[in-house]
Amino acid sequence: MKEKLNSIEHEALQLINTANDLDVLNQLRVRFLGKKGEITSVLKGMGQLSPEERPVVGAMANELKNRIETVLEDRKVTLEREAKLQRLQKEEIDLTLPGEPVIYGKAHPLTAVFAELKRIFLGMGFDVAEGPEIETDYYNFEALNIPRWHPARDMQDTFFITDEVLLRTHTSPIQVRTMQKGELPIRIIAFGRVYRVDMDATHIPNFRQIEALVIDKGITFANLKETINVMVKGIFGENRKTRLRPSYFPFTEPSAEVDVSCFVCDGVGCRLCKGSGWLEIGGAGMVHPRVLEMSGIDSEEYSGFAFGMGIERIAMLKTGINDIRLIYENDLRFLNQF
Amino acid sequence: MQVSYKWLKDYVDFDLTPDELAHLLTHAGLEVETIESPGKGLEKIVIGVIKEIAPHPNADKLRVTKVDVGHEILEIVCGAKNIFEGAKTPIAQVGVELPGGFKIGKAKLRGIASYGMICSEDELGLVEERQPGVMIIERDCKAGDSFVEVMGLDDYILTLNITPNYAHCLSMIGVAREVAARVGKPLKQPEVVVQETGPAIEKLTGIEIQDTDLCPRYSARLIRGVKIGESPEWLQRRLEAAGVRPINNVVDATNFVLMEMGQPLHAFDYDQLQDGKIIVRRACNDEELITLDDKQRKLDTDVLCICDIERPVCIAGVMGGANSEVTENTVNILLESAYFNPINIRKTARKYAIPSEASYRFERGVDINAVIEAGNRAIQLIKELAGGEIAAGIIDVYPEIVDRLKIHLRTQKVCDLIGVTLDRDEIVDLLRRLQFGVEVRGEDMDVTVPTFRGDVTLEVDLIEEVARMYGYNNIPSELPMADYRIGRLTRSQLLEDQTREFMNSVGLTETMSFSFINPNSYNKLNLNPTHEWRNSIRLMNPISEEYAVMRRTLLADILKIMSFNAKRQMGQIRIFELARIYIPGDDVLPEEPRMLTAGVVGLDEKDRWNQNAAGYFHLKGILEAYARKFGVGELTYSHGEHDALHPGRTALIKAHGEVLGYLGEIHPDVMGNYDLKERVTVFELNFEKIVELSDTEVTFSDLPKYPALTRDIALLVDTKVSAQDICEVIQKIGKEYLETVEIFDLYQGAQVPDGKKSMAYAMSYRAKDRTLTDDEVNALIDELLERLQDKFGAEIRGN
Ligand SMILES: [Zn+2]
Repeated sequence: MKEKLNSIEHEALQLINTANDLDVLNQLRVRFLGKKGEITSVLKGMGQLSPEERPVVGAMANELKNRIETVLEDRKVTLEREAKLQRLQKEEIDLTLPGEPVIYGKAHPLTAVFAELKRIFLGMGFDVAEGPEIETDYYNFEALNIPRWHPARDMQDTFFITDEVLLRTHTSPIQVRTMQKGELPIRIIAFGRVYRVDMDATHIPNFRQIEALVIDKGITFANLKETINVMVKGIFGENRKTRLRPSYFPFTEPSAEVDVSCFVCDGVGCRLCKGSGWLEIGGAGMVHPRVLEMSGIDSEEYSGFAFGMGIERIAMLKTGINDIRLIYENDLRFLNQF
Repeated sequence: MQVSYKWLKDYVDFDLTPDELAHLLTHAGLEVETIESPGKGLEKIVIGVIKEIAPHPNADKLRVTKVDVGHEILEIVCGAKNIFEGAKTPIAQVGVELPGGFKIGKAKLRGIASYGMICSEDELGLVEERQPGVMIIERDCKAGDSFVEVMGLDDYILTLNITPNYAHCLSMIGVAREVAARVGKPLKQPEVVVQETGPAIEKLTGIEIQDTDLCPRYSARLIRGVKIGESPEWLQRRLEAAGVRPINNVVDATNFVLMEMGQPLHAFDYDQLQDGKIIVRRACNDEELITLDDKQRKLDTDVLCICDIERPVCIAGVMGGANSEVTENTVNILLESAYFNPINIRKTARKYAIPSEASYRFERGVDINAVIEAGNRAIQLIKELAGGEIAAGIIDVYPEIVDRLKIHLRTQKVCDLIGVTLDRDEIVDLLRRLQFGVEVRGEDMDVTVPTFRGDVTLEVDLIEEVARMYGYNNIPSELPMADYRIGRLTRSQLLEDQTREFMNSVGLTETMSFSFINPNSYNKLNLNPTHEWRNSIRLMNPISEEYAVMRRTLLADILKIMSFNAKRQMGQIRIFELARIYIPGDDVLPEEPRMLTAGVVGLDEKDRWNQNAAGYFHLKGILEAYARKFGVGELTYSHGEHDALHPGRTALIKAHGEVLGYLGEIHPDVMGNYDLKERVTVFELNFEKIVELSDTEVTFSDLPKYPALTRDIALLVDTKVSAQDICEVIQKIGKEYLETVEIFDLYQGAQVPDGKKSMAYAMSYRAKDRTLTDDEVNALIDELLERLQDKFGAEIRGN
């Protein structure tokens, strides 16, 4: 009987290890370990054995049963793993096919530029102030030290609604409205649409400005310079340099034009900067004491600075847009580029 | 203002290249816009003297010349008829490129070699029109001389952008003064000695100012026996460099002084003045004057005129009259040098729309105390150019002498405002270089302002002068000290930003259009004649009718943009704009609420309800998500009426019972007006209302503890019954137990009778404090079905 068991073992192990699918493996389990299986039938013949041999053969048979069980189990795991692997391999896809389209809209380039500027100024502690676009002559001109018949009115060709009411030509009336509230110190940016009678290749009659106003004790021209510096580096990059040169605005004294070093040629001179190495981005200055006084602020105690820029100009410089009319034409082939 | 580099050197001895000069001026506040050289590209052209002219053996129209160009004699074939032996001409030798790009090569013309070209003015780019012959030079020069030097073209013209405060720089001497202050060289002013050989001026003329408020000073000089003629070359060249056309020696002399000193002058034909007298007065309402440009001007009492005893002869400071014009027959001249009220000149120049070099300067203020000097300079120049004898003396009516302004300047104030430490003596030096008079007063100083600096009236103006001279670039940079804080957006500003971002994220691209529109847009929108939008604010001076009124809707622009893009083969268009509209009211200033307007076209025509209204349901989905995200409240949609929208596809949108705006399809007629072919859907909401209603504060509520029970129902109802009608009933009956309700099927067609539709709803019920039983929910459903039958005659198809 031992021989019989040995031969069963030999055959079983060989068959199990070469079985190639789970069904065959199940049949082998039945054949060797089943109630009518070969090992059981060997055990059934145990009656013929001597009482001494019986436990020995019984132990052998059980051991064999366990061994076959283990081998069967191992083989099953192996076969299952292989089957899963095969199944996964069959599921392979072309990874390079395009994805499902997601539709999203684009922010207008001017909105994007304003958002960037806003982040810079909010970080520096400025709030955002607003005001009407249709303004009185007083807020747009008089309170900014531009009396009627002053030649400075030529600098801003104005759309009038009545003799007294007009479309604001700059965002500066917001400065006046803010100052008149009488809450000091002031640290604001003002933003919005402004209007001038001008329409050609480089001008549009309805454009946008942003300006900053700071009023406090001890504010200096040096403060103005550095605040502009920080803003310029924030919006145009760390390597940009700023320069101020004397200019004239009726509401500031001293006044300055603000130039930024050309980012195409870095100051050497090129077509963009017309050879000067500098690009003009806006105007600035110390708030004129007359403007402070007209809004009820003591110019001996307080001083302040203001500076303003055209958003279109900044957007054009940043993105290389070469025709201002594109900005208001709303051609989606243009808008989708941003 | 044009500044000639060469001319400027007459007044200050500077050692700067044109580029360096431009840099200096720019940093002095005189922005240089362009630098141009009239001789650019002509540097290699030389003067040639024609020595011999021989006929061409093979061509009748050509001749063979021998031309001396200094170091050699060249043989040049020439076709011009105006050449002669001894003529001085511009020569382009072999290898020279002309401004037009033509390069001279060795050429054979009908068999004869030619070693250059005798040029005409057009070939040199000096004039546009084609010239009949070559340029013959009548100036003093010799063969081989540089053409640009001989012609005075070796100059640079700097065009300055002079801001309104720098009236003192509207002259060569003014600009030279700024240069002198910066290079540390003296200013060289012309010395004038008037050679008075005639009788006393008082015997010949008299001046009376009747309106001294408009004319605080008037002076006159007189010269008799002049000969009107052409000005000499040097003067013509100076005027051309300044951009002024030479006319005759007398007018040119006054223009020269205008450009040199900035004082406008006027020359009258003395013999045309009745009684030889000048009266400065306001015009009368019935007076008229034909001005130098041959236009008849109606005068009135706001207009200051120079008159003789009978009639106006000149609009003061603006334009002379034809009746007293200097002509070639003029022999006796009265020369005016005066100061007029800047505002009045500005009004008059505006009224007649005659801007001139003179009025431009009077408007900005000339130096009232330099009037005499300018008159002297001009009268002497006239004498030198046109001969004659100058009457002795000046008539100068100057009733109230304007003293130089004195301003106290504090050293500390200068430092405090600029943010730099300067000591008193540095400041004194900087101001004196600009010809301010300075008297030290302790640590501070009293500054006397010259009358040519009318822009300086306050201490702060002097501080700007100091900063300008010190150099903006030399001022340090330093952030202001302040309490640390970060800036904050208001709720409204934040929501505006968030709304833009939301609309982008759901597929809408932002557009921006002008705030003004064509009033005809309201017709294109099919608005009825009394529609309130037609009451739009109109501009007095629009660019054109296209941009004439302030818009009361963004719809017109949204449609315009769609039409524009549809014509450029954009299939799907999804856009929005968030901007102000302008509503006139009783106040001086209108209301300016922001509107949020969107439009879509070209989406797939299938929508989930098979209504052929993809755009409508697309935008509605966006609005619902938007309202939820920003806590606007539940939006309700009812049948709305809007002239521009499809009558069956227009919803009036409300939240918390307040109207937000409209959602709907554009009326087919309006689509036609905008040349749009496919269904367009739009919404326009009042953004101010959204800000008012929006509440984004979120308070946590406990997660549900007990299970929910779901039920579906299917109904057959009249097509007139809306989904919202049924929802409202479900909500009402469901009380606090109803958690969600959703319509998931809508069907019309086969198996559904005409005029009916089948609708299916899914509901979910849940109690907060216990597990709901089937019986409880069944009771709710029974009640619901009964109510739906009663209210809408609904036929229950299953539940
Ligand atoms: Zn550059």
